[in-house]
Amino acid sequence: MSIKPKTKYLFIHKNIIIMNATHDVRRLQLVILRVGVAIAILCKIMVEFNDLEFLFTTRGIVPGVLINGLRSPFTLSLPAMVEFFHITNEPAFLKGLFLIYFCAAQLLFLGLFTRWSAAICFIIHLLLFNGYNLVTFGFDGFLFSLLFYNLIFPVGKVLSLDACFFKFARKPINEQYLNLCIRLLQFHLCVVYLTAGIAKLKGHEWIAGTAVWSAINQPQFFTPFTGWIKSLASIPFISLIWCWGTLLAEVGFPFFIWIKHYRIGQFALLSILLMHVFIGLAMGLQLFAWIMIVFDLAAFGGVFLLATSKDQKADGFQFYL
Amino acid sequence: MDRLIGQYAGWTGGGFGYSFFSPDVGNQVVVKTFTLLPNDELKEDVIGTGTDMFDSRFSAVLHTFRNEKAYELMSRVAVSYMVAKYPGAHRVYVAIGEYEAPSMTAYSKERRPSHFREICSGIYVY
Repeated sequence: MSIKPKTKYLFIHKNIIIMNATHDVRRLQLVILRVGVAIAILCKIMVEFNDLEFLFTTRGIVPGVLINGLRSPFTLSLPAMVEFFHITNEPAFLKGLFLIYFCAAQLLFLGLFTRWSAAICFIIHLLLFNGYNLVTFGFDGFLFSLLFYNLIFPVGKVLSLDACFFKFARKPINEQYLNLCIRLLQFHLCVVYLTAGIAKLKGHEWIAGTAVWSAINQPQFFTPFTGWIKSLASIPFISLIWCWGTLLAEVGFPFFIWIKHYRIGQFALLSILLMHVFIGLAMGLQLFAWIMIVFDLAAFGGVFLLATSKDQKADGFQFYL
Repeated sequence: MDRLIGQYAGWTGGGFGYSFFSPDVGNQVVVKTFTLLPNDELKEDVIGTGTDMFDSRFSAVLHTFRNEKAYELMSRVAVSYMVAKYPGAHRVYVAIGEYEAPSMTAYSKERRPSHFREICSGIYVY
């Protein structure tokens, strides 16, 4: 690999150059986006497959009258599709749809026919999300957005079977386009954390330091770790630190993540990742935690790889730009 | 403008809010049901405790109806599910309530668990 002037390189060992850092790290972030989203879909299908009839049919837990009332007039939805095609056996249709969803997610994982598999996953998720938004939660919203990014970003050109088999997928990704894709992810993620943090700042429980205590006492979040976590959180000082730590991590994230100096950006990302690991382990929201970790690493995972010892010693502030 | 925003949100997922657990966390709404089966057996179910993905999604529906004026609708949703789950069942007792967390001090001293406070209840005959 030739060395061009003013190009940053990633060192895995003293004096050993392994790749053109900025460009290749961003390519790696696209892989995280594609594979992470595919794993999330596969897990979602596996835990939901037996309850599809109750979740996503007009005879399920959401009454038909509400489904029709809340249906978005601006886009596709599953109930509208069922009605349009006069589908009478909804459960069988749904199972077939989920089998296609499952196959498409596997192809997305492998990076084979990536654009098509991403499109199929996106359309099926869109149908479910817009048709049954009463049964959706945070995980589904983020999965929707990340599937959209999978559809429009060149995720099939890196570490994929497409790149092995097809000539078109081997064409290098335009550096400016890749940059734009990652910037879009980064901007979106910053908006997510800033919005979430500011919304929490308006709450009395977060300021008083009791919000985490209230959350872990909800039966829906009980896990094998609950007893241990509750013992810790019942100490007011610790609960206060967790609440204010969450506020600082979320509100501060959009600002600190860019700062290279003293590894501030790395700490910002690490703290937010630890928060999601806590949510996954202590509150049992594994899928939500997973999709957020994927989002975090796809947008900013490079901060763990791009910082060099030289950057840490540099005078003044440096930024990941 | 609404149409444009609606279309953007509907096709990109961009209309989803990010204000999780805010402004406050609050108590959790749980629905307890007792269903009388044709053989006079009584089946007890609890919805909203997050035991699996299905229950978590059901919990999301209940959360939408977390309003005094919507408890009746919430009960009907729960009853419809129970009648579908237990074919032949014709009588369901529903209790909607909240789990209130103990204070930190009470938990530290005596490991007091969360308390279920019933908000409303009723019997539905199908």
